[in-house]
Amino acid sequence: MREMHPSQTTDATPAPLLEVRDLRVSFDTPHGLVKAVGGVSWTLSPGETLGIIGESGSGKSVGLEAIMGLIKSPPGHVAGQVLFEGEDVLTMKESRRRQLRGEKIAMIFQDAMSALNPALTVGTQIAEVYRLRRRCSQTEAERKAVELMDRVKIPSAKSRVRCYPHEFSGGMCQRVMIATALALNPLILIADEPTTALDVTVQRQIMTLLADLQREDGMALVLITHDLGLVAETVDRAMVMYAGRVVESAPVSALFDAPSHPYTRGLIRSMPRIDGASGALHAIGGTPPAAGRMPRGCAFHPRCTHRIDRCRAERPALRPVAPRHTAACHLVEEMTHD
Amino acid sequence: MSAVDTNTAALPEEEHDRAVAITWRAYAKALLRDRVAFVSAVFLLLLLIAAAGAHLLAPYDPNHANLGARFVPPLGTARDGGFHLLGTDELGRDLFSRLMHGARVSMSIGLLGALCSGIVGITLGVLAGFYRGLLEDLLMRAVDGMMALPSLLIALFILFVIGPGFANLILIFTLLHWMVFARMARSLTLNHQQSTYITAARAIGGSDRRIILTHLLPNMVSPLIVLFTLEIAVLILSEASLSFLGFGVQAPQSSWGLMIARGREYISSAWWLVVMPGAAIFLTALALNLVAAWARAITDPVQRWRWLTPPRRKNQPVDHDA
Amino acid sequence: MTDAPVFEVRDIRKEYALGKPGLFGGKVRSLTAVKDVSFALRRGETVGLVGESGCGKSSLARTVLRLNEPSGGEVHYHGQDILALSRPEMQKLRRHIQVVFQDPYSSLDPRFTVRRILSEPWQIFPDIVPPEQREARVAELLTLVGLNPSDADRYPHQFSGGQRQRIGIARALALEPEVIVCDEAVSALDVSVQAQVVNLLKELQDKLGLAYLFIAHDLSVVRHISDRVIVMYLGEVVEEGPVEEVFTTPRHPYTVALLSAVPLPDPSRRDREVIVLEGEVPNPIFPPSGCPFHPRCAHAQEICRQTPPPVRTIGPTRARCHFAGALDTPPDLAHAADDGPS
Repeated sequence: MREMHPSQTTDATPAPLLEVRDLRVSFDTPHGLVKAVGGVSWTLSPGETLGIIGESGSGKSVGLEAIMGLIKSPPGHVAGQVLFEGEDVLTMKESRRRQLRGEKIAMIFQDAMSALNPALTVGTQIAEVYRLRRRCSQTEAERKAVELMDRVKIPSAKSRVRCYPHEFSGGMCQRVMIATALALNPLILIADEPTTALDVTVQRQIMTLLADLQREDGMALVLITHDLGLVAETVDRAMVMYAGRVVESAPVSALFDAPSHPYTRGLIRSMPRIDGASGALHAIGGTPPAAGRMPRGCAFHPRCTHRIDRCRAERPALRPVAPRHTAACHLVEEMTHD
Repeated sequence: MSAVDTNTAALPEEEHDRAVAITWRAYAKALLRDRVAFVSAVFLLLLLIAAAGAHLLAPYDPNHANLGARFVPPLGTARDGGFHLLGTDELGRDLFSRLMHGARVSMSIGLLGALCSGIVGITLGVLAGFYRGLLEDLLMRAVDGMMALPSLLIALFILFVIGPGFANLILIFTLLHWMVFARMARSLTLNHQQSTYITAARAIGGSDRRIILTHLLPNMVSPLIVLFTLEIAVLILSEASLSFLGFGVQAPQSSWGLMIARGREYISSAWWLVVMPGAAIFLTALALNLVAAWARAITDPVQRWRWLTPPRRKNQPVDHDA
Repeated sequence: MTDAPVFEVRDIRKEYALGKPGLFGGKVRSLTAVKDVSFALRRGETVGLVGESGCGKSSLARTVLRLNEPSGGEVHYHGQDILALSRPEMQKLRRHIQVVFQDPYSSLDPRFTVRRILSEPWQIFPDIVPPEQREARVAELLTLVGLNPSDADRYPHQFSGGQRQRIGIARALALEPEVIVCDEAVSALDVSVQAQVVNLLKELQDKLGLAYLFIAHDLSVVRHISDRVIVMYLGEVVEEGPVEEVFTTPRHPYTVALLSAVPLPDPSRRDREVIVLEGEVPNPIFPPSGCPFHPRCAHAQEICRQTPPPVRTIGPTRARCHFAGALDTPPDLAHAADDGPS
């Protein structure tokens, strides 16, 4: 959180750790095929922190689930390429993918409380990963569990290793989830709204913890969230998603200083600020389109105050605005000069 | 679709599709589309007609013994030239006619028994779940106690004391089956009381009566309907076992259960005497369940659009790459 | 704003008994969810209530609405103590004090059309809108909250979360109340939609002179909408005052930490000094001695462990802290009012 990764400052980007190319996810529904994600591409460098911003239904979580191979088919259909160290995750054998999922890419979710098995002690659940993958003894695994609980700063880990999830608060459960995710030292941690269910002071603790762990291990972090504040404080680079597509992607400072897509601008302006004065908020009119009923042309045009005729007819592609900054808007030049 | 401009400009097109006008016509069409539910509904309808009009429609007098036509197999013809669709029994009575007449007894015992135990059980269960406290404690202990009793034995004992007969049978069934409804109604009530819309109804000044009748019960209907149909089937079978033991319906009145009981003696020589009434019970229970499942889905506002709108899997344009 | 409060809560208290008394009586442990909270709402005023989960804010909402029976205190509506009312009297009074709930998905009966949802209140209070005018009034209400009158025949599941929240607001307005309790009314909504609903609430307040008790865990929204703000911790009010005052010069260390923890949508300020509170909110069944915040407070002294702090008045704010006013406000909060990215 406090340091910029070298990849941000130097232009010579290292080989990407994860590369997503034209990822598409759709689902069969009684009303036909519904697209959740439509052609998303991005890369993640080692140690980088990437933020994915979007409101509910924007496809931000579905896309990551697809990358993890967690989308069941049918009803889901996943197309495109997800290259992890050059190897396509989508086409590899399930056994290989499962291995990857545990050892290289880990994921934590919003609702940690329900992600834990209520019938097993937290220690068992942390140790399980280790015992299964590393085939070590029970005592060895338990020692490891205590060590991990210490690492995620669960106080008096030694005595709490035998606790059950219901004896823990939401924040503590999320720490347990993080401990489980870290057990095998993954290269990428995907955090899907990790603090949405938590109070703001606990959120601060968890985000500080994640930043510390990231600094120690050098793992890459993908943070999926709807909270612009969290993105501003945590990530190096951020992508804004709307209706299943990326509408803007930029280094985080550029995204907040010079947002180029009307949706990004709207989102930033509609957010009430703790440090701002009161008065009417600049709300974006309308609601996001329902999945399966995308407007023609630019998906945002029905809500956009800048729209021109072209927006109704033609979907804008992502275009460069500045170095490493792209936005999908026909009026991107005008917007930038505003 | 292209110019949805303001906040207010309504729902996307999909939502309009879902908001099909809810008319009887739409229900009828939906029933026609769902083949399984449709066949079941037709079966139940025929059964009701057969039961209600048995005295007019039955080809033979169900109690007329014809010793010259004993044990005619299904689709067989007796020596006197009478055709028997489902065969005859040991006294030469036409099985099909007897099934029609028996349907009247079995169906009314099933329906009335389930209805009475349902009313008693749901009332008590809802009140217990709604008001909690002592009422709930007492009631739930009573339910546990009653569930632990061997119901067949109790039924036999009571019938032995008060004597057999249709009304007594309904009484026994109510006494022995209300707990099933009470238990479910209570847990559903507890569940729904957690929902904010119940609190919301209270916040607008709604009385308990209003909350129970207009919010709680309608939202509990779906699972209760399923339980109700299951109970009908269970009661038809219970009546069968009581009649089988001689404590149920008395001759010359007959029921499906009683027919199975009587036919048992001849199972090796005349299988149809057991199989036909057995099949009648089975098919009725099955049809009731299928119709209930359909009714449950179609009365749920959240789900029914799936049934009410014709499927259009093929022509759905989703590809916006064009 | 007139001076006489529309709605006034005095020392309200809510305790929950944990478990039932045993066969031989015996003491039952109890949990104090709300501890002697007082506040007043004037016409057209919004009082914001913030705190983390378990601080008792939702309990407070239900208690002042008398959806839960309070264990003590008074709730006055125009000077009348509503806690003294009988059940039928209370049901009649409910039309003046309405509530908007957090979860737009479960607060509307799934089997009711919007029309039925909005007109149900008039079946209970037939005098408000005569039957022949109800149709028109439903349309009017829907327009008021930014929905389409043609939506009246739809069911709740056919609407998005934001639209459902508008329906919930319309239902609250149907009874023409003076007070609306918003219990996390915008918390479940997406940012862009949340802004619409917040604006709607403000507009309605200006138009109808409503008084709001606005309960939320999101401090930014509370700052935005409130005139006064109350900060709760473990069932107690730790600080209260005019919103600008509390947000720019918080007096209680908990308020300071709470404000400091909110992430700012401004990457250039990510390196500012942030107070990370240790630990979590203690179990309210076993509250700490003395000041309930002392186990997590960086400034805690011996006196904080021993003696519950008094309420101190510093200018327009009141804070429940031994050292209120004596502690420095972190510089990052003091000059926080800039305009964000241009």
